[in-house]
Amino acid sequence: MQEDLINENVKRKIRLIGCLLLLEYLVFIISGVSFSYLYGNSFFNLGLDPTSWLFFYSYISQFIASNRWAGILMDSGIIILLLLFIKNPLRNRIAIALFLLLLCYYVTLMGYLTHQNFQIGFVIVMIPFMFKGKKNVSFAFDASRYFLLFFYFSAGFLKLYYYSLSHPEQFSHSLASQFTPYYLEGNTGIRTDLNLYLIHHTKVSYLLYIGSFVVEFITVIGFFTKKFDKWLALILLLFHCCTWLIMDIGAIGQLSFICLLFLSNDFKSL
Amino acid sequence: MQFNSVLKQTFLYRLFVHSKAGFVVVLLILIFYSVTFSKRMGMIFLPYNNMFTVDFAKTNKAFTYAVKINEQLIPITDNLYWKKDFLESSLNTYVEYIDNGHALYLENYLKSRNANNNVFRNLLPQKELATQWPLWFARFAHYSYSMPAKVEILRYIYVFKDGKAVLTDSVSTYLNYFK
Repeated sequence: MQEDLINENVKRKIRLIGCLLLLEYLVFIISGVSFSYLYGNSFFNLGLDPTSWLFFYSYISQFIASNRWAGILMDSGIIILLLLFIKNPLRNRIAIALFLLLLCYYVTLMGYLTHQNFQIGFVIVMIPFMFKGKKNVSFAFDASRYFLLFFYFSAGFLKLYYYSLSHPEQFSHSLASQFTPYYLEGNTGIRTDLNLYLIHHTKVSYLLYIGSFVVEFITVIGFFTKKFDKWLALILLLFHCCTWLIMDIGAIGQLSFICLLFLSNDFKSL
Repeated sequence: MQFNSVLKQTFLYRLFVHSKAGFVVVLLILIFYSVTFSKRMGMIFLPYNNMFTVDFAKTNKAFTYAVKINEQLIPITDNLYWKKDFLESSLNTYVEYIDNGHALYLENYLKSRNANNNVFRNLLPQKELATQWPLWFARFAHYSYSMPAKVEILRYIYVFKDGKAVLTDSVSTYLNYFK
């Protein structure tokens, strides 16, 4: 029934999001940090986030890391579910299962990585598709979209709140610790040259910092209108390219979430 | 009248009309985030503002940690982003764990709250198993080593001046022999 209500064009776009998410998970596997590769790791660090407590308290994460077959099974399960999602993007039970598995992965990875990273987008992206009914999907999409906008807007807002914009040398100092392993190993190139340049030229790095503030703050527009969502998506994708170049912080895991903004008008018409 | 029509177009109003349960869930999330924000506990629920950090120290120094096995440094930067980040971040935390007397922040937090250690034991790594972690690190980095293995973790300190990154000091922070 739901499939009758949502046209093929929208389904095709959701499938593209699914393909992008699949690519992101394949990058996790190729990088060597998926469930299978955590086998034998006995050291993890949790913050005060109760979400991460849940999976570790129930020993789910530790069980997966202690049993190689469990890690392989989880990775295979996620790949299969992603393929099923791409085939049937409106089957909400697949989306619910994916959401739970990807949340488990995110929490487990961050626990063993011992550092919470921002790339939770690959979990949140499933939320709109977990619901049945045109209206429910539309509301869930809007909620996810607001979370995405808030995510970036809050980073810009906090820069303002903590007066970090009035410390021009701050970004140069932050950059000093981003590439030190590369200098130690002699693995230098364009990015390390750029890093050295920005550390030694605080005015240029300050301009870039202001630029990042503008990009983050500009997402406030999305709270008032969906007209510019595609532009916001492009700006955010470009922002993450620059973040990788300048700060060695990759956005794999966040891309499919940002690309939801390209679907704003499609869900608006649901 | 105009205000009413604008109000009726807002997400929360439309959600309230459509689903009271959904409205309550969203409202609870908003209240929770507002409370944690006001108490500067921004990181307590998902990393939504993990992107924001400040460091107003005026210094041109930085440091990094590296593992040496049998005097050979284990390289990590040739890996793709996520693996390189994993190797770098987990090593930093492991050193902090060692420096804090084999205790993590969460353990100290639970102690300060007089929490029952047995109830929360699954939230902390087993200390006996954690002693083997440096060898797991080496295997994870696809580094082959022979036993017995002398494992050392060093802290390398850099100063940035004259357009260069200059290594000024290295300090051994961990040394162990595995047989």
